[in-house]
Amino acid sequence: MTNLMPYARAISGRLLAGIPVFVLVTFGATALSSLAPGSAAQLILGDNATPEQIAQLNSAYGYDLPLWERYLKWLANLLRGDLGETLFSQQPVLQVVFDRAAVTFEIAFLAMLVSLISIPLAMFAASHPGGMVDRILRSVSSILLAVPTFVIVVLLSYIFAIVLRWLPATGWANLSQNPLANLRYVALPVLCLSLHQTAYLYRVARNEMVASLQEDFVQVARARGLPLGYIMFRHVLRPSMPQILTVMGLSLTYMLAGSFVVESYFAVPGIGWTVLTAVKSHDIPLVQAILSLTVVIFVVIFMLVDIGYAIIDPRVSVS
Amino acid sequence: MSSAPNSAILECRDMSCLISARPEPLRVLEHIDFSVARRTSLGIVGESGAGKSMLIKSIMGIAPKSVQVSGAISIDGQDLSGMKPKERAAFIGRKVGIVFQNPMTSLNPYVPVGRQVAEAARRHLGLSREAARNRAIELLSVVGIADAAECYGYYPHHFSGGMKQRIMIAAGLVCDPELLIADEATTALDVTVQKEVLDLLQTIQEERRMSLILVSHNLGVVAGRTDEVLVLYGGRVVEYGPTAEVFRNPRHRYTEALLSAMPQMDQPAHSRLRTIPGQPPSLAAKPDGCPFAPRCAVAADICRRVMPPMAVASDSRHRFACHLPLEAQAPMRSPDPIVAQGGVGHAS
Repeated sequence: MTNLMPYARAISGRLLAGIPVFVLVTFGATALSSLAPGSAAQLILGDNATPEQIAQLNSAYGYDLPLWERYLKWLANLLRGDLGETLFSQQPVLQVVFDRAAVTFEIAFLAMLVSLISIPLAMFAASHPGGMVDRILRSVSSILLAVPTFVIVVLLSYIFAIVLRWLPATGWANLSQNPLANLRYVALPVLCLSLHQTAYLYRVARNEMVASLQEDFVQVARARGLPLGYIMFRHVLRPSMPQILTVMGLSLTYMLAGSFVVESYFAVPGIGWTVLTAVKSHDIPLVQAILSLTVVIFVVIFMLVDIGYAIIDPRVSVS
Repeated sequence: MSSAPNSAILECRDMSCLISARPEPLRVLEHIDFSVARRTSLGIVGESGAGKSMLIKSIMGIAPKSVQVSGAISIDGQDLSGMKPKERAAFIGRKVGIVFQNPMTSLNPYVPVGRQVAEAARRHLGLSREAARNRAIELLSVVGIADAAECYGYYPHHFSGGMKQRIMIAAGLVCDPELLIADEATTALDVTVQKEVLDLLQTIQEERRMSLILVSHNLGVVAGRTDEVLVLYGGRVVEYGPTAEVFRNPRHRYTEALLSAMPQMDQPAHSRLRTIPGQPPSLAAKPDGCPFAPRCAVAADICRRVMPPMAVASDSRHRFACHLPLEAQAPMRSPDPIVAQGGVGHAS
């Protein structure tokens, strides 16, 4: 790792490769508004709009322009860092998107951290396969995976907010303004979001480690009289990491993209919740911006996972 | 722990391995008796499924949990059965080095090779990181890795199969063991590399005054390189004695059949190889009598009913389990290692 050049090259390569994906998706998002019946302005303003209002909106947002022109204009605006204002709150679109994304990132990141607890659990269960802990954790993880998120959300908020009254049921405080209150508000959404991921990560990690334990080099290590705990850390954890990393990457994308259930239930102002309300209120500029951000995030996450493989596995080169 | 200087380095007494199954347990190994004296070498030969690997795993204490091992095993005069599992594993790890069959999979691809060589020394000899590193580098050069200090940090995929096996040997030697076990250590290598690695093992054994166990399905590997040989068939010792004596004067019908199945250099071109008809017995349907009886050309009724006891030949170190053994003075056979490539049971 002394030489960082290959990594820099790999990162720029992946980002370049992400450009076509980005263009495809954002163009799709632009086209989406044209697919709606009537004009986009009609859709936004509803059935009772007067022709003057429609004409005004069309000229303000360019909805009467041909699709390709509209897209190019949007791209140019993006490069200038100004995607206009949201239709309803009249705030700068980018400002809104970044504020909301920060909230979702915080929750997803914390949920990711919480789900990492599954790795030591998996190490313990895998080193005693078929043992009591292994059997209990298998049942628990099956149950967690079987229960849908919206049920978990209701259940946990009932237990922690209504019965125990430990945590607020809904609401939000900004991390920068009041970190302590933020922690209280964030706890339930994080817990709900992480339960599935923890269970899933646990199962993958446990099975991967049990498989790694069958490897010849583990037999060799055991024949050398090395203790099991040492073998788990030195010879089993790392060979299992690529699989674990893959799942973590997918989990992260899932948590970013699938956060709307949790966010809307707990009234957390993240992008999941925002995109939901934006779609409902036909706030096309906002939807488009959020879609674009999501693409960028996905490309970056998959890139990080690929680079992670190269760091973990000496046989994989980054380029 | 004090070691009795005259005792054998490894002693197995009446060792059996059972796998519980229905309707009755599978008898993987039965009544295995042998010992390896200090500074001597033992060859263990047998076909696939004869129980060679299980024998080694049981000695090393790494047999699968489903296998019940009975009998007495002692290493360096210490009875293993009295030890706690952790203590026992550490004791074996320190006293016995082992090299496994497949060098491609025996090294962890995620860990630098030097560390894999050094790790047992840190654990068992209590060496510091630096001392263990130096010891690993020293051993890597002993086994013929050029630029050992540089190679310390390389990963297994940087090495060829033969080099990997050398690294495995270095790892086996790191605690200065008194016994080195090579379990089919050269089977996965090509012929010229095979010879190099075998020569290396032999040199190391002599220089370090260790004992050596060479496990192989290949008689040629064992011939001329070991002091004694143990022939396993169907989970039983069928013949056991000084290597030269067993090869020159086999008494058990199976050993004899094996030796005749080896291609000879002086055979005319395109002559048919002699093979042993039939298959080794499956674990589930092992005969009551001699395990070789179904394939034996001269088997009599008693062979099928009664397991023959170990008989002692005139040379008291040569033993065999056969009701109808070959005559003591069989014609001379070449124990010449040049016939090395006759794989047991694979000659066809």
